[in-house]
Amino acid sequence: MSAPPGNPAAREGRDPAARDEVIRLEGLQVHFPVRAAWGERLSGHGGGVVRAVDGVDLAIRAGEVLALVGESGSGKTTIGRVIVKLTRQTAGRILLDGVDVSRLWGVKALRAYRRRVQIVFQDPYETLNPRQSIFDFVAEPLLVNHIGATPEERRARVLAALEAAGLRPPEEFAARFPHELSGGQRQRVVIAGALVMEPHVVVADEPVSMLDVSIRTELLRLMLDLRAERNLAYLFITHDLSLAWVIADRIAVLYLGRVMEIGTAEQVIRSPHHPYTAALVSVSPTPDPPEEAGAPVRTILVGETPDAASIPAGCRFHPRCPLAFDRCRTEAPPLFDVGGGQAAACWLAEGGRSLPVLPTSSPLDAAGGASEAGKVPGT
Amino acid sequence: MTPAAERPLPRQADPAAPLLEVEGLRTHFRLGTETVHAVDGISFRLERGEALGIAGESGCGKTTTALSLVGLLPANATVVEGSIKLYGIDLAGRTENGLRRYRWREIAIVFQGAMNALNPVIRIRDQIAEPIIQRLEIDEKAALQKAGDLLELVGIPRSRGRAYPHELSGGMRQRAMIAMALACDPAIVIGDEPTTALDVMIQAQILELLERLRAQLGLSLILITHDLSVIAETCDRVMIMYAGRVAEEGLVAEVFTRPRHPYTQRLLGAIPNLHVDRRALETIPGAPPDLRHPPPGCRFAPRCPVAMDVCTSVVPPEVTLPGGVRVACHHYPQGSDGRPIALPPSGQEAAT
Repeated sequence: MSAPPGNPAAREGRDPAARDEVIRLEGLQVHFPVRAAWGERLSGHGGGVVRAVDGVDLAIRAGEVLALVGESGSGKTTIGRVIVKLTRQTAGRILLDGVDVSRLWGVKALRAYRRRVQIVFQDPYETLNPRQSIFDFVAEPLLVNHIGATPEERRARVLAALEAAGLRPPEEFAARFPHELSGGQRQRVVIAGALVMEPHVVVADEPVSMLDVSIRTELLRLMLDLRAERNLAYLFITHDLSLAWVIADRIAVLYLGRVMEIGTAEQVIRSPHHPYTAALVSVSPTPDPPEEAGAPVRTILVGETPDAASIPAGCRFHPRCPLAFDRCRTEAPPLFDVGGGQAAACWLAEGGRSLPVLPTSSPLDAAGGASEAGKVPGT
Repeated sequence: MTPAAERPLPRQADPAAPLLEVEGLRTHFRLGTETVHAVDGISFRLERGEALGIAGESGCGKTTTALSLVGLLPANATVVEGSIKLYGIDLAGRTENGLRRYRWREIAIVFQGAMNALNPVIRIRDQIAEPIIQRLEIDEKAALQKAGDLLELVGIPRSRGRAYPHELSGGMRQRAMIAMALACDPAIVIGDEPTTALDVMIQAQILELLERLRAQLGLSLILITHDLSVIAETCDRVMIMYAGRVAEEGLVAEVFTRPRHPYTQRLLGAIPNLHVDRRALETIPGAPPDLRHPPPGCRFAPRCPVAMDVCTSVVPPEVTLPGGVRVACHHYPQGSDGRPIALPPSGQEAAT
């Protein structure tokens, strides 16, 4: 067992630049073994590992919103689960306030940790128990973690959390049940359940994906207000680059368990240095009519993200990269610093070079569809 | 595949009539002893070769509209009023038998969840061939040939036709669904959230495919989605629905650049946009009304920042403005010049 988090003695001797980092991941790796099917075992094939997270270094600073953007299978949810200690890493270190918490496990040991680091899941319909009142839902983490000496103290904390989540008057909402609330209110309850612990870090896994646009923006505002009031840090996990754009200070783009690019929201969206980021930016739909946007300049990547059980050699993005060259097929690029804190894992970014223009696709190019189909690997 | 223009029209068709004309459509659900006014008097047209986007939030009636068009409503829902005219032939209130001639052969639909719509124990190729054999009455060999052609058309190698649905990725399954919808050379394809569950890159691939098919086959498209951005990029016209009614309808270029209805204005302002300033997002406080007891007057009035007294009592008529935009809002009376009404800045209102 390592030192408990927040122990000031353990903070000494740290890199001064890392002083405001609340969470730090170093070489994080999560590999899941795949059990071979019965027939495969007979023939001696099968098995192997799914490399869900395959060497990720990230830091979240106090009061910062870091968006983790990726498509399904990129490992973004797994990283979130590792940070809240719901999934065990297979290698690498996790630091909270500079203290190594990689080996912190077990309900009791994690009690103090869970006060600091909380998670908000995507689906408020599944997170809430239909038979549990809103008060009981929000009070539960207090009971489980032995916080609040008296029922009165706990009640005060629950009401304060509901109020902070914008559920006013809190007394009225506390007595209700999930079916009496709208989707937006339910997600506010889930946020209140995280806030009641007064955490420093909140992992929000697609927190607004289930909600209609008109309700989404209110929740995003709430999250930003809470950050301003409490100096909360968020890891905002999303598949939607445009959501990351509006909420995040920094954006990390993931592909097949690796960070492809990281930088401020402005850097990543306005001047991407990785072809994958540039392609994602080009296909993210915007509510601009064609006349205003000009002819849509989209780079539609061929094929689909490969299986994390068979990650391509070299740069894992090379089979789909329109700019790939020989080196990409054999050697995986490290994250190259391209200036101002932005970094891209691409040989083309070596030495801070900017990205060449990507080829674009036209929907009326019938051959595009056919050639694309030819290259799609069998799933 | 036969381009839509070269296909013979159904026998009773009126060649001068618009491709699809929906008038005063009302579809209600029975829920216990109560009635849910899911679609409550909507009208629109679809011309040949056109792409119409129908947009709105959950519960606005967009999917119910689509299901009404193809007669696939759940058992507790009925079209209680209005007409759905395809080439001038009214399909509303037809029996299952009377509709069979038109569903899939004239109007086909692609649903959101491909995994739920495909049969897990039948090979993709056979699932596509089956309706061809049944509806077009051609032999199995020719039908399988056609199924292979359809798969290639949507970008699936012919050889993958032997796969079962679970062996295909989400994007490939959605392509297979599109191939199935095209099996009987329909004139109209309805996509009900066809890309919603897909990753953004796969979504771009599918939307590109739909655009290509539209050009290649002369298809008319109805794209139903909650995502206005998708409509901006793929459709000619857009119809914004709110609580079972049409709020605004017109050319995409017009509605997206000069939204008139306060709901459209706020909705567009609430969509994150990579091309504009960060954190300029607008909010729409409140929630859509309970459609068992819709408010009298304008259904958006309880959430509208510029609601007037008349809005809470009188249903706003649909008015066609100069430029062809149709809007249902008391701020645009008959004869209005259509200058968009300015809304106060959003954000300081009570929470939802």
